[in-house]
Amino acid sequence: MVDELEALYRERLPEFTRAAAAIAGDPEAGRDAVQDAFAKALRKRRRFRGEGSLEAWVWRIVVNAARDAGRRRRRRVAAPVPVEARAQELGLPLELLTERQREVLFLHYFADLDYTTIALGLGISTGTVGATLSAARETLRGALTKEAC
Amino acid sequence: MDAYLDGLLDELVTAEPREAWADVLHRARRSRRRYMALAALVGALVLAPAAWAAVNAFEGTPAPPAISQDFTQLNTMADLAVQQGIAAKWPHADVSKAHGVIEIQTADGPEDVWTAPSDEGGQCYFIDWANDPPEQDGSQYGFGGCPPAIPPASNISWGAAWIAGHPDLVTVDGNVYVDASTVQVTLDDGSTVTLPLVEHVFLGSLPKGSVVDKVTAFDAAGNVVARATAAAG
Repeated sequence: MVDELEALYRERLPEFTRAAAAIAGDPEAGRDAVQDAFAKALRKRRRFRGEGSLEAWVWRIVVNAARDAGRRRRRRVAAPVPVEARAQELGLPLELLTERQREVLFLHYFADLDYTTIALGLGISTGTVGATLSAARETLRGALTKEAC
Repeated sequence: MDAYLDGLLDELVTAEPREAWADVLHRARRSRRRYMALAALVGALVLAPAAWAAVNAFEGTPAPPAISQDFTQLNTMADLAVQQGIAAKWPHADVSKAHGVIEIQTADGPEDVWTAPSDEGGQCYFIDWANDPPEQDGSQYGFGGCPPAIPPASNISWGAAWIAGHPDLVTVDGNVYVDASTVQVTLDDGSTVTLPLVEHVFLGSLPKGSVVDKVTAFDAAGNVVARATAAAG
């Protein structure tokens, strides 16, 4: 199990880091969340019962760690977090999305996860993943089209 | 529009990964220490009957590879003991049947006892702390053995152990060779602590310096069914 966790870490670190950074809203906080999440996965490895993939189980821990890191960061600093500031620069209206829509979008886009892994990672159904992703894209598309007109 | 949106997302986050598995291992160890004080409080709950439901949830958990490796190492030691003439025969564990029996909460995190049937009819055991990182060879830090299948006169075999990796704790563990429901240890100051008993095995964690005078096993009706003193251990 330790070997499998280490292999997953080495193989998928770029995806974990990028998605965690997006969810936390800050690249440094995202990196930190990934490190903490894998440390937690190591400590709790016996709790993994093989229901779903190991990767999905780890994603759930990473998402929770990134969420917590983001909330801590936002409580400490009043200014927009780096990812939100970058979104504003790019004209990407992330503020129109709910937290869940952002998470589904980030996991799909930055980690290239399938619906099942996203569902297991976020603790929602695969149907909800599809619907949430469509709604998020529709919202962003609509806002960008309106801006372009 | 989709391609444009994808382009924006692509530029949104540029978090370069910095691979640091050693840091992950370090954090896994550090967290254990950070929560030690809180765990000490939780550890006290082990002594309360209400905590036993959690104890039972652990029973039957298949041994992970690290624990199986510990039992394999016990077998290797047994072979060595026979080869070197220390004993004519030494029990071996059936590693394929190693499983969790009791998990208790201690100041150093969950402490587990795993057992595997021995080829002499008894049970081999291994005790570890779940939050400890694995050893370099992939095994788990802890201690264990294969006690003789023949019961002692007291019908309880037990030990109180202190190990370097967990210097603030004394582990009390053992076997009861008759049917019993609970085990109570009596310390040298006269206080008593009730321990969980599962599959004839018991496990408890006491603060450093605790001295056990007596171990008593009770049936469901509260009758004493076995008793061992420190002298007779």
